[in-house]
Amino acid sequence: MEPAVQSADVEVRGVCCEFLKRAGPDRGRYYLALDNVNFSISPGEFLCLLGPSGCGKSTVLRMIAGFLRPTSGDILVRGKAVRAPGIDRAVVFQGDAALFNWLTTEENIGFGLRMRNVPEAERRRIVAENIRLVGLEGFEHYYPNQLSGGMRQRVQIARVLANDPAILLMDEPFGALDAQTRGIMQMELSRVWSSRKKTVLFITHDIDESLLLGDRVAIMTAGPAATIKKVLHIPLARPREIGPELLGLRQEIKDAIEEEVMKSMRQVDHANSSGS
Amino acid sequence: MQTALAVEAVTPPRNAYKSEAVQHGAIFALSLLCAVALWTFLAWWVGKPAFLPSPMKTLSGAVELIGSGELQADVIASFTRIIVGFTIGTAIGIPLGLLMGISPFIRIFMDPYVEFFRFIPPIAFVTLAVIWFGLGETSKIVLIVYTTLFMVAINTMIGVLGVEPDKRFAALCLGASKVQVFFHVVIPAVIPDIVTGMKIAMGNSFMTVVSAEMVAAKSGIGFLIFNSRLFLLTEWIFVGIITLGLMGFITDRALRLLVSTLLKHYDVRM
Repeated sequence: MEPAVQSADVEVRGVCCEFLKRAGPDRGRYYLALDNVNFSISPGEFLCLLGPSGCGKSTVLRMIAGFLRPTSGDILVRGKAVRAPGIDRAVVFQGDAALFNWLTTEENIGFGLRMRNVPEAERRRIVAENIRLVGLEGFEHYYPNQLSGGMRQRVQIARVLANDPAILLMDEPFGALDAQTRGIMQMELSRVWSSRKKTVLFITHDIDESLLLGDRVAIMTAGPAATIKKVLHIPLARPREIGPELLGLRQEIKDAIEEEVMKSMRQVDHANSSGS
Repeated sequence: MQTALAVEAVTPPRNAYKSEAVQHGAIFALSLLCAVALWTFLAWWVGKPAFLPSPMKTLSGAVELIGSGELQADVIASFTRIIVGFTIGTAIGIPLGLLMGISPFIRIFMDPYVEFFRFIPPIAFVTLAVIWFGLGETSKIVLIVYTTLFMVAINTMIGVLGVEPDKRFAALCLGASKVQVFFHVVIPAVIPDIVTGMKIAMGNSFMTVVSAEMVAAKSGIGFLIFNSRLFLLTEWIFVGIITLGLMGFITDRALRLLVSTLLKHYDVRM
């Protein structure tokens, strides 16, 4: 018998993305944000996409989610080309603009189930289960503006988990949280992921976050024309702590990112000096 | 918004609220007393009731008008026009604004008319309204519909354009259809803007009804104010003006109460 072919859950092949600038001094010019981005995520894998700010990490995620179309290249999700947003790919957004502020915790988490006409009793069960999973018991009837930043991100996470998607796309979900809350949320996410085993694309600019959470870390180059610089494996069991065994990897990632940041700063200097 | 929990945590003791309310009421009463005192003094100093009637003379004018039933009839006439016109205007303005918000075609199609009529106050149309719709109720109601419709439609449209794209995206990847996104995300998110438009429209409706009644009506507060001028019954003019202020105050309170009971979770700022 032939071994079963393990196909990737997410495949990004030769993706380029070009924008027409609509404002600012470069108005009307094209800007090549992404140039030939390639990577894939296996089923159940946790991939961190790490890169300097403004490099186009979110753009990659938004294309996989189906909010944006690549200028060229292919994005396949479980073998099928992405055309539009779908319930197989859930997005946890940066910040909390994506929460429905007129709905309670419970109603936010049950939103997808309600839209999909899941029967009331089943909906209640799933919502309660996910509220327990993210530790929001007692806050079922609170509105988003009555919750702390960390709690709001938990609502977002529970909301997508209630829909039971195959793939989780997380766009710097803890970026706006304070350091302590972020640490707790990282541990919780690690725990939730261990129990649910979703395929995850996690975007961050925090090196330690990527080391704590990822099976692999893909590092992006600085824009314009950003692409994947390198991909590192993190062969460590969870729960992890930043300890001696991670220091080598951490240094390697740090050097790579620093190189990119320096490169982009030189580009800015160059642009400024040639402009004047 | 972010500090809601923290605010709850430092909630002052219960009686602090009560004493604050008492303080509030006391300052309010003092303010009224000052106004009446100043008014009385000025009326005495001027000494010509036809030019500036005293508070007492105004009060007796009010008693007179209420006794004859005229004031009540005028209040009801004006209120009816406002409520009918405002309701029709809102009922057209909200769907129109929503359509303009979601469809670029309709938005661009409507844009020249919105931008053109926006700067023409309803008062400019009073004579035309009378020619077209006569001296009856229709002309006044049409003018209020006109003023309400634009204000509500524009605010609704701005609201739709301002809905965070991430809210729509989130709903889409949670399995909502485009129609569901419209009804379950766009409309609830736009409610605060709709209420803002309605509040401005309510103020405009008062202005419109009074000016229309002054030019072309046989009843209403505007008619009362304008007609009293002919008999030099200045105190009746004062009664009319004070009644208008009270009507506005009551309407605003009613709208607030309605919003705070029906729409309390929609982040409406009043």
